[in-house]
Amino acid sequence: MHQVPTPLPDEHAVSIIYRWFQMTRFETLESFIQVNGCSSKLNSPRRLWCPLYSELAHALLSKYSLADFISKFTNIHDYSLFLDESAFQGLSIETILKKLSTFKFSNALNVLQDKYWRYCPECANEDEQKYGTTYLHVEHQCLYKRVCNKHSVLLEELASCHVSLPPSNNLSILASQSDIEKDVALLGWVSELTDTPPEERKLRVLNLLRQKACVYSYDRKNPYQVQRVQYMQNILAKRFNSSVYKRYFDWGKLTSGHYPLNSSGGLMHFLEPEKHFHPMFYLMLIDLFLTRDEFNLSLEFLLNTSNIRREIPPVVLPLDIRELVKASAA
Amino acid sequence: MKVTRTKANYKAQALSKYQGNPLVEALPSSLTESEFTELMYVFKHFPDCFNALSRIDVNDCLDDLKLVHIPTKEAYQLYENVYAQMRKCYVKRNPLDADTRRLANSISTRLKANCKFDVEQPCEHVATAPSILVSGKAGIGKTVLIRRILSTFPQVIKHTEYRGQVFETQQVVWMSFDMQASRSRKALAHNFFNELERVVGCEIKGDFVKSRDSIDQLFHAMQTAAVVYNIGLIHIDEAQFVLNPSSNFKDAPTLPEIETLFNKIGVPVIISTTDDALATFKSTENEALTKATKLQTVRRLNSVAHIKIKQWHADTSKFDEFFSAYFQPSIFENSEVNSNEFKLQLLVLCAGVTDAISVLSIAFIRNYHSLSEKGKKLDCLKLLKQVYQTRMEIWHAPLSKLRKDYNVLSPKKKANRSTDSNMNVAQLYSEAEAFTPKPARKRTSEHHLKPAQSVERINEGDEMIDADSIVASYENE
Repeated sequence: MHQVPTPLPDEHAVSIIYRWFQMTRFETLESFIQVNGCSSKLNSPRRLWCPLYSELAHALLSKYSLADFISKFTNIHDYSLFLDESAFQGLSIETILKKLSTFKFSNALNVLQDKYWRYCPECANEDEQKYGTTYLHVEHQCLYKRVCNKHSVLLEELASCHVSLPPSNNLSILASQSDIEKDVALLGWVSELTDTPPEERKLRVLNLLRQKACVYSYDRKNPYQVQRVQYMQNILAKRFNSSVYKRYFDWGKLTSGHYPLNSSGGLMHFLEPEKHFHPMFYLMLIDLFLTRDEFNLSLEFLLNTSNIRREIPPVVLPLDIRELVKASAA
Repeated sequence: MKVTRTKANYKAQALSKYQGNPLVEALPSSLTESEFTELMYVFKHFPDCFNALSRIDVNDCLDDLKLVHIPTKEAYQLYENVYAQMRKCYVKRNPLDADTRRLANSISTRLKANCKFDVEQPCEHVATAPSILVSGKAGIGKTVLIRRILSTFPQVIKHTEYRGQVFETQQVVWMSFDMQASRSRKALAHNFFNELERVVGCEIKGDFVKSRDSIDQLFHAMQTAAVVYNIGLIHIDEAQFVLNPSSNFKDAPTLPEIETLFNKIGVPVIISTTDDALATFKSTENEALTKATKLQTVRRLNSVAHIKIKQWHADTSKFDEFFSAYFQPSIFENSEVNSNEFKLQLLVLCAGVTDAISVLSIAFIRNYHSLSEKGKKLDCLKLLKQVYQTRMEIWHAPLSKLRKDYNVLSPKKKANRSTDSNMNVAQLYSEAEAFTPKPARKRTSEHHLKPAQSVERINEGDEMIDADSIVASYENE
């Protein structure tokens, strides 16, 4: 068995693999990965599973089961928040991991997403002092985080589509109160969703969003529905474009009337349960349009999975068209 | 040599500097001199039914005698040095320390950056590790002694968890490889990686070495592998090939290079060599041959200890033990073999060299047993000389050379000996030399310092002489 580096506290699997690569003769990480029989790239945190992780998990098997390894050294649980796990039922863990290694979220926004590995400059300095090396933390790769919990500074990103160890002498930027509050709000949502059965999370959320938009089955001949959806798209584009998360995800500018919002069905397309978009996309929709009380209220009703368009009775008040006009104009 | 692998069993350390270091805590507890000596002894007792055994079985039992080992006082000195240095150097390479990671990073950066391997360039954060020099005549048992001592340590310790934290790593406690097979720098590197692969039990060479790597890269790769696999100590055998390089041996690694390779990253080295190679440092030959100043080389050679393995001498309790292990009372009770004269003759013939004594004794016992079975009355001294003449023909020249500087009597006890016994000893020497054939022609340039390649080695090959032919010739007398 190969000598893999001893994991440091909260170290991400990709960082352990990078340190392993560092101790070899290979000049690029890609060549190291290829020699180890894997073709996957480790270019961004949304790469859920790389076959090389399996070798790492095997090396650490004496202490961590595969499930423990996944939860301790990867962010799969963050990314699988809205994945319908029933798709994997009956499959062996090897098959699931193989599927995950080639898994790609639908690119509804037609822009590159989530392509930066993140680090906290303060943590990097401390790690260098304490452990003699910097490394990537699992916590910092959490898709909805942009503030380091420990130092309350903004997370920085490594070069696009590239994994390496963080530099140790970068200056940090103190997070504003709103940044911190945003992280806390999203964390609250994630905790709420995590307590919900995995197969219900997405269905409940999408159902509530449809209730909010007051469109259950979109009819392009109904001018009322068309206008509502267009207002919703405007708000969506505006919020996305001014989002603090944009820098981590490199979304292009959303413009109502332009792709992917070039048709009035654009929003409806996002709300299809069969589609798997990036989880941050759903979290942002939730954060934009729902409240925790509304979600909690919906939990009091059992989900009718026979009709996913009308699973739960309406518990959310639809957005008033006048509010939409006002919000859209703001 | 079989690789011993154990799981890490951490032991509390009395000294605070050794606490919290999994590599030190996983080492076996140090042995006291008596425990160590008991562990080192190897006897091969003949079975009670030895005389009733078939010829093949008898030969088998006699072959086992090659494994007999009697530890001398130097053995524990060496063990103490090995244990102390290994532990001391692991302190500087605690894998949980920031400095060790920095060291590993800086070495691997040089590996990736195709940097030149500079023997003068210091390695960050780790002080130079020591060297232990072990010297002695060829065939005296240096290699066996060192490897037996190293075998008191597991070769690989497998760590999985330390103080509740995952610590999945392999600790290669020691490695031993031969410079005779490493006649060039590249051969040395490949020899090192082949041995490391054998020890860790998987293919790892590809992680550190590319097919067209330069010497510099290979040396950086060896350093990186030594740090990654937590190598505790390296034994370099037959070091005369680097201490005394010849003009035909230009690409041989030099001692400063080897020292930089391992010592500068904190891996102690045991260098074992023949006495002949050390003679280089006494000569006034051009220093350019050794590619370093002599003082520099000598200082590096034995920064901790120089342990000389001596030839066997008569009248020492250790030799009596060694002798009894071969000439066992079950066969040789009340035999002439137990006489002082026989022991002296054996020692003189073999110049006190362990391997020679072993080969001659086994050949003698085989003949003795064969003739005894036929009911012959034996003159043991005569038989010994005859066996020597037949079996040790190719050994004779190097042994004869050694005999010139060898005193069979223990230097400490020599003063107490009578003139008569000294005269008898002199006679034994001249009898031993009686087998020397007259030289065909006079050799020239006797004073010339011989290169490493021509340093004479005693052939340690298998028995080649048919025992029957010796028996037959004895019967004709």
